[in-house]
Amino acid sequence: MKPRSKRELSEKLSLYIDGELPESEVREIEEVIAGNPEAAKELRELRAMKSLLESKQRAPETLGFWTRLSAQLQVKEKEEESLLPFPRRYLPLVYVTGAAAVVLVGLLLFQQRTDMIDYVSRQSEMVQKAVEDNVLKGTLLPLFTDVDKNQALQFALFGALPLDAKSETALRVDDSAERGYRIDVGKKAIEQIPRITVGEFVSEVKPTRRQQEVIDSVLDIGRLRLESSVLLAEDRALAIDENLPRLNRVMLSGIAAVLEPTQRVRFERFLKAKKAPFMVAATEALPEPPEKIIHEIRTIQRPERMIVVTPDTFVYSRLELDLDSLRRQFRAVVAMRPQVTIHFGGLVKRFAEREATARRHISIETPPLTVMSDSDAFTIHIRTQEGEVVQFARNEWIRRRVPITVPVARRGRDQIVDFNFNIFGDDTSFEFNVNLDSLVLRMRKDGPEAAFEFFMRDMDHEQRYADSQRGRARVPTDSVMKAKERARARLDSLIRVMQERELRERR
Amino acid sequence: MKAASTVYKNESGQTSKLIAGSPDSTAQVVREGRSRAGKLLTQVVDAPLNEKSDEVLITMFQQGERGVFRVLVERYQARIKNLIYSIFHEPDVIDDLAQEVFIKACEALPQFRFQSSFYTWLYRIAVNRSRDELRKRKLRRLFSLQTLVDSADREVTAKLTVQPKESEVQEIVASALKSLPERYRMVIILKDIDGLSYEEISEVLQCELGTVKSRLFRARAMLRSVLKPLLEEHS
Repeated sequence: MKPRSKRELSEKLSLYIDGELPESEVREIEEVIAGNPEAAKELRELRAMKSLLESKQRAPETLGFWTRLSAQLQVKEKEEESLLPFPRRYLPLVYVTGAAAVVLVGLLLFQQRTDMIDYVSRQSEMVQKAVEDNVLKGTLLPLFTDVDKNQALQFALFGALPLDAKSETALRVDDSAERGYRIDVGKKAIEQIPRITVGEFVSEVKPTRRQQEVIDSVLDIGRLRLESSVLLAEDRALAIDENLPRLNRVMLSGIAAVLEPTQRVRFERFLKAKKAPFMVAATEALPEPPEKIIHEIRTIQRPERMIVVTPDTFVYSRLELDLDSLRRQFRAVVAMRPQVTIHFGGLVKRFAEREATARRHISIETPPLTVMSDSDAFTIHIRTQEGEVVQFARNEWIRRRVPITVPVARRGRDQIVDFNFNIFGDDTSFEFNVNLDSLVLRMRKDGPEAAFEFFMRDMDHEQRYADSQRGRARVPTDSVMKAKERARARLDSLIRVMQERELRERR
Repeated sequence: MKAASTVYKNESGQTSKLIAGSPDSTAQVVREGRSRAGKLLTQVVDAPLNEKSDEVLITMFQQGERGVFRVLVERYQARIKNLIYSIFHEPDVIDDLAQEVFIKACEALPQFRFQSSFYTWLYRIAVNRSRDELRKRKLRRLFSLQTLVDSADREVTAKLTVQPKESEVQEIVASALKSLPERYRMVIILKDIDGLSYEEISEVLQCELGTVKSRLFRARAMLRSVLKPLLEEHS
């Protein structure tokens, strides 16, 4: 059958040059080729292409392929062996013993199956949630790309870094009003960040050429670190390097430590004029050797642990990130800044909706972490233990100038905008601070009962919450407490009625 | 399969090990074991390992002679490296990816069921690993302005604007191959560079024969359009 279209002809020619055309069609296609110059030309080109590909350069020879491969195979084998705490030949015996033990335990547990079913169902929900929350497997985008030295200096001096050129959003690290540190991300963090340049700094402080080199290195290392410190997993999660507040201090200390006393006085004048939150403290001390300064900042070069925040939960997580390869992609992301900003906006919006999901049981790996959010910003509060602050930064060079500002999520029309409560699990507890802008709206709309409902999920937990609040300045308002008491009374009477009914049925 | 059953007909239940020799030379395989009667049996087989078929070697491997894996590696490493080189055209990645392919093969070989030939199975591992790598790279490029196809296309067009030297032809062909989407690139590499049959390609790519034919036709059409000036000259 002769080809009816050009495409069919091409398809048959492709099969023909491979010798895969059925014999019955070979003769026909040869006739077509003979009578059709276009087809003949296409055939010639296809053959030329095939021969070009056949003669394509082969992979270059490399030596020692087997040596490397066998070494890797041996390592793998040893790893597998080392996982076994007994000789491999006992493996079948261990399997049989293990299986018997499982059956035995299974039989024992069968007798307590009701509890087990509850337990397993709870656990499976948690596992499901953990899987759903494992969002950082998606594409990771750095929130900050192409950080230049001016921005790095700005971060060192003010702890703040604008997210985009329009400067509508920023990241800010600071001391917390409570013990610890906080990282603010969002629109409000942009407030009061003066624009400064390295040029201004140099003309004011007048460092020597050698000092400039050291400061350059400090800014360079800081800049690279900043680029990998906040990662966005599309609009689902944000991973933040928990050492970010430390970075700002170490950078600033490093700059102060390299300067001579007279230069430090000029530096302090510069910081004061710019209203930086830190001042240079030890103006009389001699400069530190550059190696020490560089070493200090290099020790915090790679994040080991990141805080992963999603709209539903937040955890500490050890992320296995190939930061070098990630960094190579940073430049490419610059062009896509609008997408990153949109993703980020989406994420913050989802954070803002979080109070709706706050009733869920959320567990957290490490307790001293709080995330607060409102409609266009959120704050991560890292609480520190007593004395921990000393090792957090080299405080001998810098000192806080201005009083600690209150967390972003607490700024607002009223004095009290956020609301603290604790949720206790079986063996974990965490503090959850919700910005109440939206909850206040809900209270206005639905009356105090809405807040009460929000608060009164679990009477026992509530009691423990009340205990934990002792000594705190902020306590629930009277109206909320009265509402809780009424609810408790109602619940008590309900329990009594149920107990009586049960007793009657038993009799 | 026939060879395997002949060799191991009388050896079921025996343990064996490779005791000496490089696979290139005649290797001595000493098999020790107990017959059903419990009598110690030692059998020395003098045969060049590198002349044994894949099936025999795999059976030996599955019986515990891990050393024969080297013969398989040396038999196929060039082809696997070429395949990887054709896909990526980057000398740096060849060895790493090829090592991963053979490690994976070594791990999976005990479960090899002889349902396909060893080399199509090995090719499948290599193709899947390469696809993973391409996918990773694609993800990384997701947020760059230009896709791989665009940039590779432009590269070829730029090179073809002047008359290429013979040494550059290879480079142009490689860039043109790179400009093809992965599914078309794989099929044309397997057919025209590695010389696999349609049936083998369908086994490696795990798709229908019809799909292989249509992909190959489309791949050739795309490549032809990219390489047109060069082909006119060469034909």
